[in-house]
Amino acid sequence: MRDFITRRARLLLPAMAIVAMLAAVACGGDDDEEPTPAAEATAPASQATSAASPATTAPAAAYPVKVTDLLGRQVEIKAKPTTIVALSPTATELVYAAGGKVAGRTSSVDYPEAAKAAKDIGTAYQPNFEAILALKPDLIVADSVIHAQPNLRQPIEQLPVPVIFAGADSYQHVLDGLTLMGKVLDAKTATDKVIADITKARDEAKAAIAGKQISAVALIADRDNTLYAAKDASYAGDILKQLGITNPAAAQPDAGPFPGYTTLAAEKLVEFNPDFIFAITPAPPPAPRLASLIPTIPPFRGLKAVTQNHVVDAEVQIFLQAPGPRIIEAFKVVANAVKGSSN
Amino acid sequence: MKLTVEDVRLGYNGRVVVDGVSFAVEPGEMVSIVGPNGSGKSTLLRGMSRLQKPMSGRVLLDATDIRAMSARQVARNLAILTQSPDAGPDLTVRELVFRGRYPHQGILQRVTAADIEAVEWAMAAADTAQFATRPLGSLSGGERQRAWIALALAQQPRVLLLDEPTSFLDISHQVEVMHLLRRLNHEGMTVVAVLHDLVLAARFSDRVIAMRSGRVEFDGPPRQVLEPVGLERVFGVPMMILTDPESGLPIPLPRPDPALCPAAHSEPAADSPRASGV
Amino acid sequence: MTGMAAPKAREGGALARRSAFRSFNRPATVFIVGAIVLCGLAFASLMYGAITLSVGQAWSGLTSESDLFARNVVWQIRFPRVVDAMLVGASLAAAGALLQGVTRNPLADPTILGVTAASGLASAAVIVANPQVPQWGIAMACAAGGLGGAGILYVIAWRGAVSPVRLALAGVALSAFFGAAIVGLLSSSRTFLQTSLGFLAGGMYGSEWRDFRAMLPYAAPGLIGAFLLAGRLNVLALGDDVAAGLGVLTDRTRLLILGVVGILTAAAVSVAGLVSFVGLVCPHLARYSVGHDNRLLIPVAALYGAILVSGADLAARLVISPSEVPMGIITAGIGAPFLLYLVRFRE
Repeated sequence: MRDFITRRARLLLPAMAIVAMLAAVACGGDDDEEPTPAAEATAPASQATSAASPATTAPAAAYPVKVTDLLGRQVEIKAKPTTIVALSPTATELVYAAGGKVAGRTSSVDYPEAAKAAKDIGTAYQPNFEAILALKPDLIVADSVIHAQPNLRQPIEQLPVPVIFAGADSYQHVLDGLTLMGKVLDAKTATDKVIADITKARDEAKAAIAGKQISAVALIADRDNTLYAAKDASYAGDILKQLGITNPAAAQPDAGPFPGYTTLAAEKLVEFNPDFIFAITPAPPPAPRLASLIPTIPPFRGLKAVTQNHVVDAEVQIFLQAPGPRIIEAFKVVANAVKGSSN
Repeated sequence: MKLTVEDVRLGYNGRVVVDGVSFAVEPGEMVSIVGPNGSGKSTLLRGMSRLQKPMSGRVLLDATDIRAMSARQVARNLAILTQSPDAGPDLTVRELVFRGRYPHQGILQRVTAADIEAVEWAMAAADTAQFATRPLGSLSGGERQRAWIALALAQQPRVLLLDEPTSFLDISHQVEVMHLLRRLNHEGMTVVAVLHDLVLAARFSDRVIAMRSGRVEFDGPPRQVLEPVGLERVFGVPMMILTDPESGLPIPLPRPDPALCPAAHSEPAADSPRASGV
Repeated sequence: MTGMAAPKAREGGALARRSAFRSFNRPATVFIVGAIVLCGLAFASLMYGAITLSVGQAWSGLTSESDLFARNVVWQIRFPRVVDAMLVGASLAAAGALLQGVTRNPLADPTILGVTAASGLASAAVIVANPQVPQWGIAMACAAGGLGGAGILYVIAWRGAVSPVRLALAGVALSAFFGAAIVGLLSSSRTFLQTSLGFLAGGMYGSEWRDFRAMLPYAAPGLIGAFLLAGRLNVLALGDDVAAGLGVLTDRTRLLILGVVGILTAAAVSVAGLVSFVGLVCPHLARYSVGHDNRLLIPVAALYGAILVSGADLAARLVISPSEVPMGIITAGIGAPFLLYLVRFRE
């Protein structure tokens, strides 16, 4: 059964694109139609993007606006969305960063405080479509990282509500997501400010560390206490990379079930002997923090990071589960940890 | 319908169990196949139906090789009842007998008037109508065997093959079954039965075929072939033949070892336990 | 003897009349009542979920476009899901009935005998190899796996005599082997991990029309084949010799039946993952209702399967709404105690 709205929408898009282009050419001769580099690099490496999408931001007419989301999908936003459902922590935080609010959010979301009041529509990996539709949203913000699989992506796309996919597993994605939200919610000023704050935080953190040759790994452990280290393709790994920190695990082969992480045998960690260990604990308290467990594990007792007390508890929301504007805090945590050392 | 066995060899895994047997069964005959364990009688019977494929030789129904006919076609003309069939205790007699109509039914397995008629006839002929709705598990040995015979009859065959239909039955049930087979035979059914009981074979068949080590040792009317020399050759024990005073038919009995079973008119030997009054 | 026969005949006649009456009425009643229950359950599935639609809303959502919200909820989400659930249940139950008949073992079902796991392994392998594989590709892989599993079962179990013990052992071994392979695959896969619980326990989250379209080419011929093979299965149940004597080609029929089992299982696994117990429980319930004749047993079992799975799926969606429990947990929750009851009181 086809959904009539989206089918008509898909027919309308090319027509409106042509009309919009003609209008832009006719109305605004010297408008800057060159999209910013950050906005045009929206698609992640694995998705091809069409280079022919114009940024139709003649200041006077914010809507309808055609955007390219982080899965390379062209979506048309006809009017400013008022009832938004966000399908992941990242999506939620992006909406709020653009000055919006959500009517529905996933179960684990507890930041910002205002989002807690929104309706629980299921987990990020199993959003409940009925609950979503019951809120009668005019925009769904799904997660380009979590919902990329066809078995999740297709049901979401079939819903009769415009969907944009915005998620992050890198610093650049956070910026792209903010730019996208800025366009979608007509909040470019707000999002530009957040982007500026993030860039500033990164630069400051980078400067604080400059000159020191630091090596660090970001670790998580699963239920069996198998260790996984972040590589560059992961969010935590990208954070380290942005700050110019050497990640010895970056050269490891992909291994294990977590994308962007590699299974790290104990011997490897001893071999790497990084200056810093950022330990992420996915399980909530009262599960013991990985950062306090690592020094107690016999092979690790002699590590530099352990003896010099450089094993840092990295909060799971900031470093793993809710990539987004709070990357600022991530940069601060890393910078503070490193600044304190005399290396 | 004439059933012809033409130089048939049967075996398992390269071992030959029936070695070149030929004979023909005329329509309306009742034939018993006898012989010691391992002589190949059951295998021969299976080879005469489509249950076992001969290594060489043919089996013909009238003039057609049964291997050239489809399995259903053969089943419409020839029914075989193997030893101790088991269908579980829950099936009722009527349900069982209905399954005998399979060779006559089409792909949709509809129950036709012909099917119902055939089932009623089969159950009446095998005298099972009074327990038609009882489950098999609740029947006595003889009743159950009659139910299975009714199943075979529901196929409306012209030839009926049975493998030891009276084993494990007590005397009254043995008699029941043999009387039923004889009655069917008198009504025109060709019957070939493997029997282990020579007395029943003598009483109830027109013809007895004896097998030993995969070959036919003798083949002919009971009065003619059931004689001590031939029987001893087949069974390897000394045999004696009594004659039934009423019918004149032979009653074969194993001749006992005189040392263990003294003759009726002689005194017990002096040093035997009975003599010392133990 | 003859003196005894007369009163027995009278009693037998009365008994025959009573049970003839019962058996005449029974199947029709069972079908009608079952169909009513199924329709009621299906409609309830349209009404209830994370949000509740009233009867009127569900009906208008089903039949008209006046209430767009209800229509979307019904046609986009709930209706395809309940249709998928019914087809999954019918397929698994029919497969279980066929297996119990062909193996003469009341403890047989596609999961216990490893066919479900074989199908699941193929599905997992294909998804891990290509995460973007379309649903019809998954269904095809499941079919290959299901047929492969059924084939291995045939080879292992039908050399020489089939003893229920031997078959059960073979099934347990296959099930364990394939199950371990699935877990191994999942633990190294980067794409599957998060949704694997629904797959491993059996769940219908996200089922929609494309799943129905992908599974129909396997479920439909499978169900039709199961119904057509019922008569032959009846005869096969009497034993190989008797069946051959009645004109059934026993080996070929068994292969055919196992093939049908393979594609029915595949249809179900491609949509719902590793669901257990449906194929075990439903044929037994059907046997209590309409007896041993497979021509009635198999359709009734399929009906009960549709009811069981759509009911379990409804419960799965309601228990911890808006989150979902994998539906297979509920079928196991019903099936396992039933199995224990069988073992304790019936065999």
